[in-house]
Amino acid sequence: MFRVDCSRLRFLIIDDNAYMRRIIRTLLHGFGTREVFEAEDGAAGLEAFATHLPDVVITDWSMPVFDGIELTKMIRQPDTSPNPFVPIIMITGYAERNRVFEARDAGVSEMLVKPISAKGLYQRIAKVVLNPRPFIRTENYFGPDRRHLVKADQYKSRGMAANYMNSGNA
Amino acid sequence: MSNPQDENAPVDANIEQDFGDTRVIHLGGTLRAKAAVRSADAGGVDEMSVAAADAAMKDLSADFQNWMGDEVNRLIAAYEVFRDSPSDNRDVTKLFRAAHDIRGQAAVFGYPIAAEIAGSLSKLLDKIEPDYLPIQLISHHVDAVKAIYRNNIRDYANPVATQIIHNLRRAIDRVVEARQKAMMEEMRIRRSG
Repeated sequence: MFRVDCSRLRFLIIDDNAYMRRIIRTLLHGFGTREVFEAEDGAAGLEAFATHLPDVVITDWSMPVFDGIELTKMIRQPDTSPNPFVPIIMITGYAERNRVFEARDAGVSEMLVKPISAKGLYQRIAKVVLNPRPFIRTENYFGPDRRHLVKADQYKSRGMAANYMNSGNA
Repeated sequence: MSNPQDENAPVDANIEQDFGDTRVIHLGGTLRAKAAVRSADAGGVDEMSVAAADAAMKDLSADFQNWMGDEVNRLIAAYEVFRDSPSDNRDVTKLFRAAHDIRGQAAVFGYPIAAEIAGSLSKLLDKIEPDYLPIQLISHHVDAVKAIYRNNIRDYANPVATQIIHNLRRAIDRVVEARQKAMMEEMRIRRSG
């Protein structure tokens, strides 16, 4: 088995609530992370993303002016983003099904519904580092495969493309 | 590709497959190469890291009561601005954000009942247009969160608190249902007219 050595990773936390940023930072330091950067809204987050080039982005959904969904869409611009493949973990109070789909369609890698826990956060980090989903590029979408648990060999034959196109990714 | 199970394996480039309108990009394992280490822990959860993070949170928790107080005060202030605004020009954003933050954080701070009540309030503010929001019901929610914090009610063993949650939730369901019916009726009249 493998685990993630978080001391080797650089994180960016984007949340307008200072207490929430402090909680996430505390958990990350507990995991051994040394490099944690913060931003308090989506616009500042985008700038910090380009400046610090984090390995993992942790963002809130609901933020003033420029929210986590818009931020994710900007980061997932394959032709302009400094790293469109970066894992994005969205921490949110929204648990409704339509919200989950909206986050998925924006290109979020993993969601973590509040209240946040150390184990829940660690599991999401482990998932994006150890078992990242393939990325999909279509005319309308760029981001992690929106179907979970995709095996690499499912894509081997051209015949799989038709199934893929019907899966919601196209 | 090299074996992704080998932590010393070189980092691969991404591999792209073209299916016409769709490209599938298999990530080369950069992050895995950077941060994956062998572990005896079953299920890939690093129990020591999680325990260290839990301990760090415990140290931090001495501040939680004050933080909750700040969040409750923010909710009260946002409610007062909303209440005192002209009824045709009410901005719900700050009130929603204050309620939404308590919904997400109060359980971590040790106030799960307050989180639940703030969640009901968020639902109300999210589902009903500002002009149709019942001030009285919003006020009940804000008062309930305030009372729970001031009386330091932290668990569901308190029968009054659970009854308040139940009543507020029922009241919201009624308001949302009535508004949806009214909207349907407005649509029907517009179509027939």
